[in-house]
Amino acid sequence: MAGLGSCADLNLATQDQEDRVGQFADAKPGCACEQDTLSEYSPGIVEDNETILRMVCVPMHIHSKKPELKSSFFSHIASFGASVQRLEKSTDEELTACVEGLVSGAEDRVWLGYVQASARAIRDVQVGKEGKQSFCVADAALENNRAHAEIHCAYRIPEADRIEYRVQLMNVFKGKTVLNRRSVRDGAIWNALGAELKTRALPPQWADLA
Amino acid sequence: MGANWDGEGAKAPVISTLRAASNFVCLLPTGMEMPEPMLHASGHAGLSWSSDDFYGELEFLENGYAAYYFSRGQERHKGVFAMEVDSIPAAITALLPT
Repeated sequence: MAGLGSCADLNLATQDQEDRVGQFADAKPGCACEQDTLSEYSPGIVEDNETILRMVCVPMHIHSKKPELKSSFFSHIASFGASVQRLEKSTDEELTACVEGLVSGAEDRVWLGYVQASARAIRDVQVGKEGKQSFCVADAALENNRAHAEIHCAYRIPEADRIEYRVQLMNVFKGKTVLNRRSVRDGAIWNALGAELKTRALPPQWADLA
Repeated sequence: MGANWDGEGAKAPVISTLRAASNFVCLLPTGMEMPEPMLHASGHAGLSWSSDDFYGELEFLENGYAAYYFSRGQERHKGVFAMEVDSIPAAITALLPT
């Protein structure tokens, strides 16, 4: 990606590319783009004390018998980047639109809940490489969602090591205890959803999180 | 199931990896705990086992290999192994939950 000077340029050039994360790692190693804004819509760089949310909306990402996530929930950390929301920077409307956008794309999707972690906790993870940050949390604001951010692997990792990275991220986000969808903003996001999205059936193992 | 099944640009399932996962399950010794199937954004099939102090996962790759990661307490095992049609390598069987 020679010639792409800024993180914003890199963001635009790689938006639909499967190797987006690898290109960021090559062109801006050491999570350099955490210190830069990636978009003209950005509310600023992601600070360590921000709360990072990832919505759970795809049944393929949950265990078939237990109310837990599978590590596949974080598969995108090595390709396009895993989309997340910056809680403190999100308006209620942006959070609602985020859920609606994810769920309305297919009839089998349903808002199952969410997981959260601080940006600091995500950045503190060190897998394998002694003393080296494994995950970047970077601003990736969109025109219609200024609080959008992404989690990337900080460097290229071989396929053989990807499971361990996903599992470590699952631990940070406490993937065994998905949070109730009604608890975001004290129910404001749930209440704002349309009736069709609220009445989508939950899988039986999710009954306690209704 | 086609591409973008997760709404975030996932690839369509890679059939060869689904077959490899299915074959692996068929080769599990009788009585062994059945794994949870999974599908990654790469289109690769996977299998996992989880309990309070144990986690195991396999990801079936397109080159006939599978990546593995197992943790039990402080123990960690990871790497890749060549998939065989008629058997599971003994070193992998030894890591599976009983």
